[in-house]
Amino acid sequence: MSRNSLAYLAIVALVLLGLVWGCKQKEEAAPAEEAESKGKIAIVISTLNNPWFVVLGETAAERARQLGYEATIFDSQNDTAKETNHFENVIAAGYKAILFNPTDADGSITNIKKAKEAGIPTFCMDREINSTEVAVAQILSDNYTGCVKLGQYFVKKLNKKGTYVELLGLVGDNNTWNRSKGFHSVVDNYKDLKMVAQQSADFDRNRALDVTESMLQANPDIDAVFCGNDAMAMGAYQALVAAGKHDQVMVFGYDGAKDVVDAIGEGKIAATVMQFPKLMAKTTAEWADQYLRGERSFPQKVPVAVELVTQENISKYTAYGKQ
Amino acid sequence: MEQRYKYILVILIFGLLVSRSCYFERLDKAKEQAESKAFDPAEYARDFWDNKLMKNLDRAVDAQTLLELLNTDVKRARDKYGRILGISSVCCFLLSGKGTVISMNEDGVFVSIKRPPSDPDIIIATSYIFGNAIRDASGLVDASQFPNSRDFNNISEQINKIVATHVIPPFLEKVDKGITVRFVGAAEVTEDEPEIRPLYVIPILLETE
Repeated sequence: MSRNSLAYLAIVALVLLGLVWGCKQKEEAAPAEEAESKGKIAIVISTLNNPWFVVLGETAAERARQLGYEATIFDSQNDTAKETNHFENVIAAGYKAILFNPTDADGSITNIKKAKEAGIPTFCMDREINSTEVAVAQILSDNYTGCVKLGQYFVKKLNKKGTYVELLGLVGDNNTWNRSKGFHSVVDNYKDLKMVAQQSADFDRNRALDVTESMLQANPDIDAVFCGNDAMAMGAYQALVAAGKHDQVMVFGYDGAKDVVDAIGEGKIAATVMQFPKLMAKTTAEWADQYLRGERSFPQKVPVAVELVTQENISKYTAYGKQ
Repeated sequence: MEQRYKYILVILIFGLLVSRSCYFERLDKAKEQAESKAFDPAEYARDFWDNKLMKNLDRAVDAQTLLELLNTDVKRARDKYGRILGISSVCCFLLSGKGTVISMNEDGVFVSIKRPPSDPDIIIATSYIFGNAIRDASGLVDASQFPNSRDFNNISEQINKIVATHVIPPFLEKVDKGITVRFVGAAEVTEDEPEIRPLYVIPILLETE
């Protein structure tokens, strides 16, 4: 064998050795990567038809992934039956925890109970359930206080007199009533401010458009519309534009969604209340991680403060949070 | 003619049936009534006021001390004397003090706690009372105790009613510009809002000298 042949053989052997060693390393690395995944976390959201909830769900999923979990988002489409199906699938598929935005304060309790019985902890975010026994913790916007602030601003903007209508959210959701109660705890003190109609539009923009249109037919001379969320505020504004009344009637929303924050900046909407969905979602994901690592001491209900956003302070805010 | 009377009679009977079989009510009031059987916020608020709050008023920080610290170090004032509900930049304080009435308007009674009195340091709310300042400043009501947060919030409304009906009216009969008042109350401070004076105080106890 010539010297050259020996050199070639040595090179080929080295390359083969390198390849074999590299493949072995990869085989060993694969299970290590799998071990890095701490399991699956389910994010069950009441509806993804509203951008606010999309932000809530995606932020929770992103934080869960950052913490080493596989995260899947489920859309309940505001339907408790769909929500129940999601829970059954989540339990059967062996998820480790559920980050949950419930559809119904009473109707969703059974789902969490089933998950608890299966050993899966549930953490509620933004919307509460009427129980302190089944979820590990509930991180919720302080809607009542938010609407006390909004009510004070409403009184100021209307100069303590005028007529208005109210669009309520989902009747089965506590947020709907906490917002309405907070608002009325202030506004009802002023006898010259009269509510001439109050109706549910299910937190939905299209429903709000229809409801506002019929309200305007019955009450053409209103001064303001108070809406239990921003999607309804945009629907109400659309109805006012169609009726040519958007310059006379002030619209007040709740959420801090992008289109309403933009509309406040453009002078179309009078005010909203900024909730912090990213803060709630991140905190919920972090608490679920802490729970799965053995922590057991969590407060059951944690109100998260909200802030009034008006045309005067809009520069401090951006969609779903502060600048 | 007889036919006409028949129609009128039928319409009357129909109208009577409709009016007896349905009625209109505000959605929020209907919901409230349905839930009121489970929890009585007025009773809870009365018990809270008489048996918890009144026994804990000695925890109120001196208003002068609080205002001085708020002006120099809000964070330290919060850590030392304040209470925060959940995740929030709003901090609640129980405070007490004595001062001179500088002026009065529909917002409340403006009081200077400085000696000699000068600009008002606090406004004692005397018109519309709303919000959660007393409930949260007391630190005696835990949100986690309540399955439904509406109950938790209704407590504040009932506490505010006690203030509006029992604390403020007798005070307004005696208060006047230049007189000295003693007060215990609750106040909210938002950390990133630099303007603290005059501090808006929801009264719990009010006395005139």
